[in-house]
Amino acid sequence: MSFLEEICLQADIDYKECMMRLGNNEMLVKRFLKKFLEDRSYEELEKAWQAQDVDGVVRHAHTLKGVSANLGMKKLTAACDGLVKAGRQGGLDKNCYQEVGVQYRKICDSVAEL
Amino acid sequence: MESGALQRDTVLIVDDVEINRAILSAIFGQEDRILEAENGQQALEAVIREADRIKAILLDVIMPVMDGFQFLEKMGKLGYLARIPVFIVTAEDSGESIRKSYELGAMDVIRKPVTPYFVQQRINNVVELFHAREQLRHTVSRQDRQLMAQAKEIESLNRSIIETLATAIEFRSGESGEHVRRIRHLTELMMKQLRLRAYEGCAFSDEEIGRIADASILHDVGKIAIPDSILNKPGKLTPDEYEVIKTHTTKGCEMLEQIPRYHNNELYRYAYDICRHHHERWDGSGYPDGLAGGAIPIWAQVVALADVWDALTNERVYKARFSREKAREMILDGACGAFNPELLKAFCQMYDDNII
Repeated sequence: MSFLEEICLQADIDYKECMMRLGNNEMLVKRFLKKFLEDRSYEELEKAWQAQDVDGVVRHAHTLKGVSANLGMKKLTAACDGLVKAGRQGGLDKNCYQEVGVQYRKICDSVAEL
Repeated sequence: MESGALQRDTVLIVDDVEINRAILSAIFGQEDRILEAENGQQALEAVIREADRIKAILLDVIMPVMDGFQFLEKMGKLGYLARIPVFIVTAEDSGESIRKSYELGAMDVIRKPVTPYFVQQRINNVVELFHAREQLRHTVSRQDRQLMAQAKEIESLNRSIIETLATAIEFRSGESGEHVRRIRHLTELMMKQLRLRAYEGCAFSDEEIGRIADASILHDVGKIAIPDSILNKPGKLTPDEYEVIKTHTTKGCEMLEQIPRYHNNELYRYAYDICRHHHERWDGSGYPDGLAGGAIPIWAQVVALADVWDALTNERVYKARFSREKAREMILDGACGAFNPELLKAFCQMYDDNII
């Protein structure tokens, strides 16, 4: 198992799926995982949550969902999905929000090791 | 803008999130040139700039500045959707949003996250379809142009044949091919002048006037039925001989009626009238039917005047040419036939303007 694969395992990132999407190129996967750290969707989501801005929450959770799905981050994707669905009904789901935070930090910590 | 030479080699990827663009770029970048845009506005600019090279557009929906739906709408209005297939690539799975995509003209809706192999197939299938349609459009366009060119050729050939026939007939009685062409030209000028002056029943199109002018070529076609001895008699004609000459009007009509296409063709109907009535006179003292005034079809009246003007202003075996002034005087004095006063006014205008 390569170092990259180990890291993915640690971070609950689906290594196989990620590779499949990026032409089975480890260099490319590493590059994009690192790029993920620069993505601002989570920060924006936090801001919207603090302001109790349901529309903002939905919008940024939706974006984060898309990005994480592209990179095989299954748990993060699921949590974002929950937030989006709740938001569409007009509600702010605390559990989902917390789960998003947990998964996001886990990924960031692991990727930082790359 | 048609440019068959330039290949469509570019895929435009539109998404505000860089990672998403990168993933799609990784899939298509191997075979195609990639253009990227962060929002609908940038995408629109890219399309306008490179419309001929783009073979497909992969479009996200949620973007700042101009979102996917707004972009799609604009593309539809500008007419680009007929040439470039647009694929919505979205994490949205609501039926509402999918329906809207199709309604706005997207070719397909592809769920994120994309599976490379499948998305490639779906997109390439549609790209092939568009390519085939474009080829077809080019071919049809080219064939259309060929058909028009051929139609013009045929028209031109027709006119040549009629002209040749008329010239041959006129030749027997000492007229030249030039005479035939001059009559055609004069007829066209006069009909246009009458149209200009809004003379009743003369609001013809240029095409129609062309047809009348072509028909004028056949005005003396009946002369072929007149014996040489009379047609080219050097001296004065006896009353009987004169009667024979007069039959060139009706004889010409008989011949025209024999032509198979006669009943289907406007040109021959004008030719019939002109042939029969170009010796009628406004006061009813002409032949063969003694028609008077407005009963004489205007196109026959015009040819009658053209024929007289041409005879007067050109040299003939039996006379020298008169000057323009003399010819005008003779016509207005009624020395060479009685004409429609309105027609004479038009004639004078053309004379004054130096059109004739």
